[in-house]
Formats: sequence, C-alpha cells, structure tokens
Amino acid sequence: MDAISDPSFQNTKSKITAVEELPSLLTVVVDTTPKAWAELDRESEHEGNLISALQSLIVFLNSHLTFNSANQVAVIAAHSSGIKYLYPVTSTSQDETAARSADLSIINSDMYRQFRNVDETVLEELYKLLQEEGKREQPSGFQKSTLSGAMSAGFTYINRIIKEQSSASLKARLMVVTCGSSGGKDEVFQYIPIMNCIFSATKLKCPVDVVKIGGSQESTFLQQATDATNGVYLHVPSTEGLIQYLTTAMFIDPSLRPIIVKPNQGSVDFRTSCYLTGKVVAVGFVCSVCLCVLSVIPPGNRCPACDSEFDEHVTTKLKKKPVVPGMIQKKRKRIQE
Amino acid sequence: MSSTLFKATVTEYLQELPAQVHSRLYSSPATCLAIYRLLPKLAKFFIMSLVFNETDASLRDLDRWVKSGGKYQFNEAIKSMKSLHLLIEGNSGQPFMINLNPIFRSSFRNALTGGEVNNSFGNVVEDENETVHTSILDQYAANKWETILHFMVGTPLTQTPSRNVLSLLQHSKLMEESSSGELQITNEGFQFLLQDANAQIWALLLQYLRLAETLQMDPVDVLNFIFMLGALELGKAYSDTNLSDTQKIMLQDMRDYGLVFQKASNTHKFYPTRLTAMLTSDTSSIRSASGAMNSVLSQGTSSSKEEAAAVAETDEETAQVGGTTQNIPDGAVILETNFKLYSYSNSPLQIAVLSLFVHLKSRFSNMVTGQITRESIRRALHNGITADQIIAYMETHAHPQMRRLAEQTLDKKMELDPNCNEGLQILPPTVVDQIKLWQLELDRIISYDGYLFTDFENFQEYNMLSSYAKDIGVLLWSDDKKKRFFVSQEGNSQVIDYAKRKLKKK
Amino acid sequence: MAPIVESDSEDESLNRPKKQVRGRTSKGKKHVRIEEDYNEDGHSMSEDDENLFSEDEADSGPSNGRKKKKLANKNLQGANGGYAWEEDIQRSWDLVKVDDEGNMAALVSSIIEARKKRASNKNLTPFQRGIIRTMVLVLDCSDAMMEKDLRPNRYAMTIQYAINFVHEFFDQNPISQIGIVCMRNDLAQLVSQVSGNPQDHIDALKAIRKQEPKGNSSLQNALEMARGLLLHVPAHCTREVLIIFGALSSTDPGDIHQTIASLVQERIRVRVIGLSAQVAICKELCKQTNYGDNSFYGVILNEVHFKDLFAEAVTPLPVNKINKGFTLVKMGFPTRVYEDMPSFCTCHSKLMYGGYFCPNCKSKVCSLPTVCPCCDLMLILSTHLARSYHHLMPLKTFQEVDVAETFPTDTCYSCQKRFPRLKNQKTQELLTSSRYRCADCHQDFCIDCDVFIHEILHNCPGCESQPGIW
Repeated sequence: MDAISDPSFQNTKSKITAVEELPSLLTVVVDTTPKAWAELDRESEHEGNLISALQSLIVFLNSHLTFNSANQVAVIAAHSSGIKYLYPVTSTSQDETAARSADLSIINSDMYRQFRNVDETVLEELYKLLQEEGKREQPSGFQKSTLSGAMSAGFTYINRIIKEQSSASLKARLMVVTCGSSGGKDEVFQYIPIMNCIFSATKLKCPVDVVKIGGSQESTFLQQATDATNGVYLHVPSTEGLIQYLTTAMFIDPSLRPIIVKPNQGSVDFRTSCYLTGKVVAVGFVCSVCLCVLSVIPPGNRCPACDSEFDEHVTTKLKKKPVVPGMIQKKRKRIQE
Repeated sequence: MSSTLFKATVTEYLQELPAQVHSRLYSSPATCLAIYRLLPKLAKFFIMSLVFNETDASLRDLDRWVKSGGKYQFNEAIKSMKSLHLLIEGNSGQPFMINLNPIFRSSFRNALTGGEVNNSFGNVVEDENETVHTSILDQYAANKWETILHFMVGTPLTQTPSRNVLSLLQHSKLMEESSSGELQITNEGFQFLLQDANAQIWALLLQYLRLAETLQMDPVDVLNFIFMLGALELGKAYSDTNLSDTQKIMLQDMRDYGLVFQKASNTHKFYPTRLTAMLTSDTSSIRSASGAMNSVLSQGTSSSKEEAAAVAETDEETAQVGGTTQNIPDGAVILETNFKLYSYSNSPLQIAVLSLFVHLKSRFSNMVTGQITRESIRRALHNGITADQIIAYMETHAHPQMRRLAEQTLDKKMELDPNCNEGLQILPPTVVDQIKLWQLELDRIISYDGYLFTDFENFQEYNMLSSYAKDIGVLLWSDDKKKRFFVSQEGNSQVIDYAKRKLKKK
Repeated sequence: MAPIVESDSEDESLNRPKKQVRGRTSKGKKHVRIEEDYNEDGHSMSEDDENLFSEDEADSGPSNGRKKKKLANKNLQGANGGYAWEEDIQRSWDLVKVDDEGNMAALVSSIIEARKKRASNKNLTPFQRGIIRTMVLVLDCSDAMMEKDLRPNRYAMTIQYAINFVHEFFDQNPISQIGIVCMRNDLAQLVSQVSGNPQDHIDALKAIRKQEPKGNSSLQNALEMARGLLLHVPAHCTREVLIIFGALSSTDPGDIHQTIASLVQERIRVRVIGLSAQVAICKELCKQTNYGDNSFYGVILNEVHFKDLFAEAVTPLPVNKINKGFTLVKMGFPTRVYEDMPSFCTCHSKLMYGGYFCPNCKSKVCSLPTVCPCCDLMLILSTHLARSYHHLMPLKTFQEVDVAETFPTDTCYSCQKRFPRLKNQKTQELLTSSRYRCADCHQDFCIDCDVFIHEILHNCPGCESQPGIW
C-alpha cells in the first residue's frame, strides 16, 4: 500500500490552520460610582480623572476592534444605584434618543465607521447616566458596591453570545476598571458574590483582568479573581499614561495567553479574616456547618454565625496545649538551686 | 481556508513593494488598519504595544515577552513586520533596538483615536431623499458577480460582462481564447470557481493591481482606494469629491465588478455593496456575509424587498424557540460516509459549481442531492481541479452541524489521549482518502530520465557495476537474467567513472 | 423507588401513588404528550406496585390486602384503562404532533417542562449539610456489566460517567476526598486510594477501562473494604459510599446483615444506583444506613437518568438530626510564594518553583487542598470554602411571569436579549411570557440566563446590582 504513504496524504493543513484567527468578545465593567472617583480627584488633586480614564478606555475599545474584524465589545457601567449597559444598547432606548444631547465633539465624525458607532453610543449612554445620577437624590446610609452585579450581568451576556455563535469558537474575556481606595469594610459583604463570579469565570474559561487606578491598598478579592482565572491585575497610580498600560499589559487576547508572559503579581494574599475578631487568620478553626472561619474557639461552644453547638470532646481536645516533657523537672531544679 | 489564502497572497504582494511605496501607503489610516489586520496575531500584539510608546524597544525584550512555546510564532511575526517595513532600526544606533515606523505610528494613532483622518475613510453624504435600500445594493452586486461567474462556467447568459472584465479575466489566465475565438475557462479558472467569494474578489483585485502598474496607474492610489472601500459602511452614500483621478477611474471599474453601485443620474455619489464589506473581513464574518450574499443570490429578482423583510421577522420569532439560533449558510454541504452529498442551496451558480465534481441526482425546493462517484471526480480531475481544492471547498461550505460534530469528536479524543495532535476532521476520513486515491490513480506512469547499461560480457562485470550503483543509491532498475540495469541521470557519471577505473585495470 | 426526588422528606413513599392517580386522568385528554413524564409514570407505577405488594405481605390482613391490591392494579393501568404493556407502542416521533395549535406547542411545552423539572429538583430550604465529605465509589466489574443495553456497554458508560462524576465532585466539594473500589471476580479491589487529588482518580479510572469485567460481584466484600477505608476518617467529615450495581445478586462470604449493622454503627451512609432492576438487599442497605429514607436507592431508566442520579450524589447530604457531628475543624491557610530557585515540595519530593508554606510547620506543599505531610494540618484556600457556600445558601428560583397584554420590559435584565414572542398560531395569543422574575429584586430574566444563574453563577445580577438588597 505504498499509495497511502504518498505525501499527498499527509495532513498539510497544520500550518494553515495555525494562522486562522478566532474572534473574541471583550466585556468591560466600569465602576462609575461618583463617590469613588471624587475621592480619587481629591487625592490626586487633579480634576476630571473619570474623563481621562474614559478617553483611554475608548481608544482601547477601538484597538480591540482593530485586532480582528469580527471582534465584539460590550460595556457595562456599575453606578451607585444599579448597572447599565453602555454598549450594546437595545433598540427601545435608542428610539428615545432622537435628540442627541451629549457633547460628542471629542469624536471625529470622519472616523472609521465601526469605531464611531461604538464610541458614540458609549458616550451618549454615559452622559445620560450621569445626568440621571445628578437628578436622583442621594440615599443615606451605607451603599454596597454594585460591581459584583455588573460582573454577573457581564457573565450572562458572555454566556448568551457564546450560545448564539454557531461555531463555538468565540473566546471571551472580562475587564474590570475600578478606582479608589474602596478596600476595607464594604468588601466583606461582597465576598460571596465575587467568589461565585470567579467560579463561573473559570467554568466559562473567561479570564478576568483588573485595572485599579489610584488608591493605596490592593483589592484582595479582585486580585484573587485574576489569579484564579489566569488574568492580569494592574495597579496604576494615576490616569496619566493609562493608554500605555491598556495597550500593552491588558491587550493580551485569550488566544495569545498561552504564549505571552503576563506581568507577575507577586504574592497574592489568600488568607481570610476571622469572623469574630477581624484579624487575618493563618491557622484557624472552621465551623463544619456554616464554614465561617474563627481564630479562637468561641466561648460557650456555639458558632457565632449559625448558632450550632459544638461537640464537647472535640473542643477540649483542640484547647489542649502541647505537653513538653522535661521542662517541668528542669524548672524544679532551677528553683531549688 | 480561503481567508488565509487571500491574506497570504495579499501579504506577498505587499512585501514585494519597496520601502518608499510602503511609506507612502502608510500615510493613509485606512490602509494602515487594513494592513494591520493582515498580520499574524503576535505581530498585531507587538505593534499595538509599540504604538503608544515613543522610545525604542530592544528585540531581546520582545523575545523575553514570549514564552518558549511560542518562538515559532515570534519569528514569523518579526519576519512579517520587517518585510513590510513596519519595524525599523532604532534611533539610538545600538544593535537590536527597533522602533515602529513613525509614519505608520502616527496614522495608526489617528485611526484609533479619530484624529486627522483626511478622508481616508470616505466622506459620507447624508441625503435623506435618495436613500438606497440595501436589498437593491445586494441585488446589483449579486447580478454583476453572478454574470461573471456564470460566464466562466459557461452557462448561456443574457448579459455578458463588460469588456474590461473580460480582458482582466484573460490577463489573469482564468480564461483563454480557444481556437474558435471564444473565451474558454482554464484550469486555474476552475480552481478559481471553487474558492470562496472573498478569495475570488481578492484574486481579481490583485490582477487588477498588476494590470494597473502596466497602465501607469499609481499602485499606492489603487491600494489606498481598495483598502478604503473595505472600511466603508454598507448602505451609506459616499461622495467622490476627494478622490484622485486614478481613484475615479477605478470607481468605474469597480462598478463593473459589482463592488460599488452608482445611480446613473448622479455620478458623484457611490454606494458600497456587500462584496466590499467582505474585503477586509475575517473568516466568520465572511461566512455570514457570503451567506447573506448567497441568500440574496438565491432569492432571484422577484419582490425581494418584501420577502427580505418578512424573512427577517419570522427569523427573529422562530429562531428563538428552542434556544439555538442557527443561520444555515446558503450552500451548506453535508457529506456522508457513503459518499452521498446534500447541499442546501438554490442558486444555479452553486449547483453549477457542485456539478463540476459531484454527480447530482435530484433537486428539491431547497436542496440538491447527489453522490461523489469515481466518474465525477475523474471528470473534475481531468479539468485540472486538484483533490485538495475539492476537499477545501467542501470544508469551507460544510454545514455547521458537521463542524460541531467534528469539534465534539476531537474533544473526546483529547480527553482520552492529551498528546494526540490531529486536526479537526470535518469531512469523513473515508471520503477524503478515497478522493485522494482517485487522484493518485491518474498517476499511473512515472518516468525517470537516465541511462541504460546493457551488453555486458559476463555476469561478474554486470554484478560489480550494478552492486556499486546500488551502494551509491542511483540504481533504479535491474534485470539479472538479461544483465541490464538502469541508472538515474545524476548518478550516471559516477558509475561511468567507476567502470572506467575498474575496467582499465583489466 | 421512583427516581424523581423532589425533597428530602421521609414520607414520600406514601404520598406518591395518590399524586400519580391525579396526574394520569388529566393527561389522558391532551393530544400532546411529553415523552418523559409518560414513561416515568409507566415505570414508576410498576415499581410502586412492587413496593406496595411487599409492604402488604408484611403487615396487613386479607381485607386490607384486597383494597391495596385494587389500588395497585389501578396504578398499573395506563391512560386507556388497559395495562401499560397492552397499550400501543409509543414511538418518539409520534409525540411531536402537528396539532391544530401548530408544531410550536410541543416544542414550547417541552422546554417549559424541562425547565420546571430542573427547578423543582432542587431543594431550596437551606439545610445544614455536611460539607467536608469522604466518599468511597464502588464500581461493579462483574459479568453483568457487559450487557449492551447502554452504549457501547454498561461498563464503558459507567467508567465515563464516573470520570465526569470525579470532575464535578471535586468542583463542588473541593475539600473532600474520594477513594475508588471495584468489585471483580467475587473480590473487592482497590482502584485508587482515598485522596483529594482528582487527577490520580481519573488516571486510575482510565487504567481500569482496559480491564474486562469478570466474575460475580460481592457487596459484602466491597462494603467491608469501604469500611476499612473510612475507618480513620475524623468525626467532622461525612462518610459516604456510592455503589454502582449492575448485577442482580451478590455472592458474599458471610452475613451481609452484620455488615450493614456495623455500617449503621459507624454512621456510614450508602447510596446505590442500580443499572438493571431493583434488588431487595440494596434497598434494605440504603434504608437502614440512611435512617429509614428510601430515596437513596435509584434504578436507572435510561442514560439521561443515569447521569441525573450520579449528579444527585454530588450535592452534599443534609445533616441528619441523629448524626450531629458539628465540630470545629482546625485548618491552615497558607500563603503562596514565588521563588527564583526551585526547591523540593514535601508531598511529592518534586523540584518546583514556588508553592505554599504551611503556617504551622513552614514546610512547602505544591498544590492545595491537601493535608500537610509534616504536621497533619488540613491546608486550604479560602476560595475552596467559598465554593461550597452556594449549597448552604441556595438561590431562590425565579417565578414565571403570567401572560399579560403588556409587560414592563422588553429585554432580559442581565443579557439584554429580547424576549421572544411565542404565539399560538391559530389564536395569536402568547403561549408563554418567557419571563422569569426574581422575587427579591423584581427583575425579569430570559430562560438562558435563568438556567445559567441557577446552575453556574449562583447569584442574581438583579439583587447584586441594587445597593439596597443584601
């Protein structure tokens, strides 16, 4: 059967298929809570940080669209009272915008059509959003951040787009742009939702990248998110030069991730904090019912979170300190001398 | 895949151009965009990171950025960027420092940020009165394109393409003048027919470029115009006030190909058709675009407006039951392991192309069925089509269901054995192998040039020479009984030298 | 026992026959039948019949027996009044009939039924569950597994599903452990040791794929081996055994009832998936080790059902009141380090760059979760704990919005997809609103998002994006 060993039977496609490029979907979640950006303005003594960040972001969206003509983009804004899709917009809201109220002069009308559509829509919707925010009265009390909600909505959008493609080969990724030193207490309440988002991202094989502008502390949850999903975490001191960061470190397409070296995060702090004392815990006790982490055995043998009683024997065993033989006798000797 | 074919040919053409031409090309942002999209992935990544960076970068830094598994892609990327003169030597003069071509950098930045674009993306003319519906554009484009293709296949037509088109076809050797004075299709022509619409357009455009050079049209202008066309939006009117003279001439030619539409009354506005939108697109959008294209082709000339609207509505409704919206591209082909073929297509062009290598048996209202037989493949092979092209055609037009099935089986195989590196087998391997075997059947005789050694005196002489020839590997055939052997052409001199040495001693 | 488990209450068996009688009469009228329901009715009715008969013989007198027999007979009768096997053959393609309502009706109703089934299968009350689990998976490798009623044969399909099960189990319960045993040639053989590393188990399963099943299966040997494996498991972990049983008998060296008694004493819970028919000893085994709950023994109807039964075993068991094992578990949360020079890890003695340092003894381990080989402390990341939170606090199902003339929104809140308008072809009424509303934030979602949210995401985008709702 020499005919079969003829070289025409060799699979000559290997080189050609390597060149074919897969489209990708970029979903951007922008944290637009005015409070956080105002704090950033105050800290950096520089007005209009949000605007400059958005300028860089729009150029970044354009560059993503250039990469492959079939690439798609989605932008979701997480503001103080909910989430809003900046792009793509559904047609019902588009009918209402017969009169374009936004100042679109920063966009050149002669631009490449594809870019222009995206950029104009994003600006328009953002302008409307900020106007509405101004009109709404500020509620008192503690407001939790809506970032986890925007990320969840982003994942459902990715899920929908992947289902709609007939040839299952769309790669997706999620980018989060946040700012300010919003670390600290409010994050505790969002731990579970962000964790759920991380797990669904790993299931969808969608890397999560994070850009944090300003602020002094790292956002531990977002760091864990990027670490678990093979994403990039970048802490940028200010909005100057943001476009450089975006087009170098954040531009890595999912298909290129296996061969490009990502910026290293250093050590990520995976430790959690104790439910009772709030200290960071390295060795702790975990309630087997509600999985809350405690650094000390609670008094009364009851779990503070779920109120379940613990077994007496086990707790006494845990309380015991290790016995070191030989020290007692030495001590006696020293006292005698 | 056709997209890579056209990319490969266009990039080859571009790489042949000298540096000054490149510099002139890069002053137009649309061209920069289009050329950027033709590059391999890693090259695109590097360029994007260098665009907003003024300082030089060291080649070694770029090298370290890529992990060890991607070295092959890295070298390819650097090679392609250098040949297009995108990467040039840095200003500091140190070795291995490179920088991005400054002209390219500024126009690319303009393209991204919407800076000075200078009509590179076309001037839109907003005119409320004279909007042209996309269906008219599609019809026009379909008409023109089909005429050309039908003319090549040889179906009797009412209109023939214009003279310019015909001369182009002749120049590109897709058709040739036969003895009776008419134009007949050549082997390359057949291969052309089997390609995707996008590849076909590019092939014609490249031919046009080559012609243009001989006609003394500035290739830079021509290229700029082509790339600008690729960046235009479907359905909008553009004015030609800012086009150069060369480009205005080109506009007329493009009309003949069905790439732009001009209303006869007003020649200062033109409308790009769907064919132009496909110019700089990539595979998946090509499939959808050519699918839309083909669906227009198949609908014929009857009241397509209402039909199109109705089809769109019911599509939206029915498509969302069951959750999976499937756009079956027109001409989707299903190939079974028993060699039977089913094609969901209605356009006479598709059917004509299929009949080149498939024995069509029956035709229904929305599909045709046939079988791939030895005779049908031999007919195609005799016409000059290779087995690879037939297989490539069927793969590009494979039904999405077949593609999904292939992806699933590949996943299962990878699960069982992660080291297996087979590609995606969309078509059944039995059929693919059989087509290749039929092609091999045509090669029944292989001829070698060489020298025959005969008339030896005794067996020892014969043996000595033939074993020497065998040892140095040039012996092609030998017959011990008749004491003859045959040696290849290259080895002949060695055998003769050896013989002279040995026989001289005697 | 019927395989649809709707909740964990222990009194299901008595309620079941009444429900089915009601369901049957109403179904007789519709044209469109949903295949699954009908078949399940048919099968489960016959299974119930068995149950009723066995209970009858145990404790009732003649008059009671007659009454119950009538009830049992009624269960066996199909919609047309005859026995199930006297009906015409149901072909699957007949079920999708083009009614006067148009073909849509069948499709739409099947989608809705499928969704409802998924929703109803979940138990929404937040039980206290045993999160840290140790499970022994027992596979039947006897001659009965060469039957070809599952493609390509029972054995191959079982191994494939077992591999999927191992993946999902570690996905949902990252701090748990699995050990695998197979019953072959009247013996029980260890396939892979109890450990928390999924890759080991998957490699072991792939290796025994090549072995042909042979001989008889022995339940007692397998249970004894499982007992041995679970002997030294600490009190805060739940001990479970999952048996895939394809044969119809068991060849044992001793008294299996004593083994069952010792299992009950050691608080080991056994779940059995039968592949051919119901076997009384399995039923008793499950009933006794699960405190009288009959729902842990399931016999498969088809491949899909097999998968569903396997998937049931993935969710953690609710903690029983008798089995109060609440304890505090001492665990360590290591920090991750990156190193320039490679060093050895203490668990495999492999050279590697970076790893995790145990906070207790500072030895390096390469992957988590694991038990530190030096100081025996369980080492985990907080993410592993977080993975199990959604079992403890499950997300409420969304309610379907009733059909109305107009709706407040046109698009899904989270993915912006337009809601389809599924109309009845003849009457032009909407068949379903296709909107699913969350009870807390009152936002509408489409069905794809609904499924995604409940199966993968586990938090509602609407509730998360409103700052007032926690």
